[in-house]
Amino acid sequence: MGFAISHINFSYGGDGVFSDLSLNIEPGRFYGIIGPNGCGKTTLVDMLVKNKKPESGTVEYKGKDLNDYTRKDLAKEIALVPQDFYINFPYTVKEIVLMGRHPYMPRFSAPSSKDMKIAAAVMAETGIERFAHRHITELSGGEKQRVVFARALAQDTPVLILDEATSNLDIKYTLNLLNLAADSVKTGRKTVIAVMQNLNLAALYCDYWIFMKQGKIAAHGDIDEALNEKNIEQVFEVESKVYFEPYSKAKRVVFNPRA
Amino acid sequence: MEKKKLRVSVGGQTVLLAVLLCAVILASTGMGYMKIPWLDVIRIIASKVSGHQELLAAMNHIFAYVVVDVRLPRILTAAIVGGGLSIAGAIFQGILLNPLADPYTLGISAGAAFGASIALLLDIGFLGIYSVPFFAFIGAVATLFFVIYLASFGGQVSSNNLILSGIIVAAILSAGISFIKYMADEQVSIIIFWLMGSFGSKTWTDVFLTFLFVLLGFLIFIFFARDLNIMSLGDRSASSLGVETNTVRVILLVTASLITAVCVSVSGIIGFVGLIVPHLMRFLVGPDNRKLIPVSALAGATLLLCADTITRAVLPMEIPIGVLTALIGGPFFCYIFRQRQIAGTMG
Repeated sequence: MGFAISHINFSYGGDGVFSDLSLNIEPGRFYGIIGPNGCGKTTLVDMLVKNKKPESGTVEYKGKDLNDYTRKDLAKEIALVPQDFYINFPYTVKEIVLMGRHPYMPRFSAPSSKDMKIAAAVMAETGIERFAHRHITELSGGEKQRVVFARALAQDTPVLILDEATSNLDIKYTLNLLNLAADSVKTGRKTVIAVMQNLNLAALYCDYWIFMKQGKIAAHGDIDEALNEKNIEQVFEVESKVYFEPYSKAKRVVFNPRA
Repeated sequence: MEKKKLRVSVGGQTVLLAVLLCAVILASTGMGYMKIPWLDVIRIIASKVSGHQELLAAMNHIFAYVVVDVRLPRILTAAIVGGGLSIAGAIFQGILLNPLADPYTLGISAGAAFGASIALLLDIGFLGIYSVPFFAFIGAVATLFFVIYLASFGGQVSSNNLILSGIIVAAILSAGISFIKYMADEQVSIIIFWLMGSFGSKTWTDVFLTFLFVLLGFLIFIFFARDLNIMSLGDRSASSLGVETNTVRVILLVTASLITAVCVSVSGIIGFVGLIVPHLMRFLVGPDNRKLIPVSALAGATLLLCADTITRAVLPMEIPIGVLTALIGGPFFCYIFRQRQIAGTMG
């Protein structure tokens, strides 16, 4: 059982974002949420992590209303890598990663050896152990994003939500981090829900596509059926061609810039 | 390995600061118009605590009166207020994600002073000795929420807007305080003297009142210290890590305002302590609030006590303590602000 969103409504001061939106998210897949700027992707993510509450309708996780979870219990189920991230205080990278263990650590107690082991493992996986003792305030935007990603992995949750989590990264680390996410989906450890802007990157990783437009689900389905010229035209209002590209063994989208 | 070494040294720093504070308390008790040897100071305190009168036998009998009834209340109040303002500053900086925030730059001190001035002007006494602190608290909390309201736009509170709003509101409140001074015929000298900040003629009641509130605040801060660490990642990240951000923020802001109000109500406006001390301590122990808050409390107590002792016993005439801290702290604020501009890290 994953998420069941049923008939939710939400608006920012009268200007409707969602009206009567419903969606099921089954566990064990790599979901891509795709849509133009301002279509409500980040708002949808906020609903899934109980950062915003729908005005009507329900969001259920594992058959239980999100409102019936405490924040702490939810933090053991769902981790979020936010879109923008800034921090004004000079914590070390290791301290930030260990913050991912917060939901598991009783108040007033120091990190357990399990916490330390998990933190060390995710730092190795994301390639940040090299600057584990540097201050987060001294790192570049891309390095910070890798640290935030590692922090979310340290949270060790069944669900990982990526809100444009690779927007500042170079291609090497983009592939590195998305491979980590994809591997954990393949081995059945995680469900990943990723908001993405780059359609070709999404085509490499997301096996289930959710197209959004103006607060509505415009189309959704497995990549084979959902990723096509008609849906891209409908959602982004651009002309494109979708074909299978043998080198990456994935679907590829190319655009006609003047159409 | 490295982690372990760090933790020991932080514990060591706390102990060192505690020892330093005790030493400064003893030394400053001996200093003043009448010099009292520090051994006699220890004897007097020991005799008061244990009830053994014979410890006082060999010394000038006026010493005991000077130490117990004149100097110690002033010294302890100064130390407690210094610690209180410092931890309040650390909390404001942590919550507002802004290393330049403190009760003074946010206008909270001015709000407390405005509330207290009204209580003094109208000679309100329905709560006994708690009347002035109570009005100071109302003034502080009202100012805090107004400053946040002024600085927020679309659910976002920008760091720079907060400081600007704090300074604007503090300017309006200062004008209001001037007006109150103008209105007050007989009380004007009380209000003026009180506003400039002074630890003169403090009593044991002041000591216990401030200690009670500062201790309460300290315990609340320590309870939420790790949540506050997590909140420096930003609201979305912090709530996804299981922190009830809104609840924690309100509790901590109100507690920090309460501490500020109590401190302002016993000592007047003492600026920049809450800014400088946490800032320096962050260099020493890092930004982790679980370490920062205890060392800030100790260092703030030591610093303000030293400043008060300088004006009381070293300078030829007593300068109001608020004037002294502003004279030293203001330039320091300029320095930090400039450094941060150069580093390009202003939020």
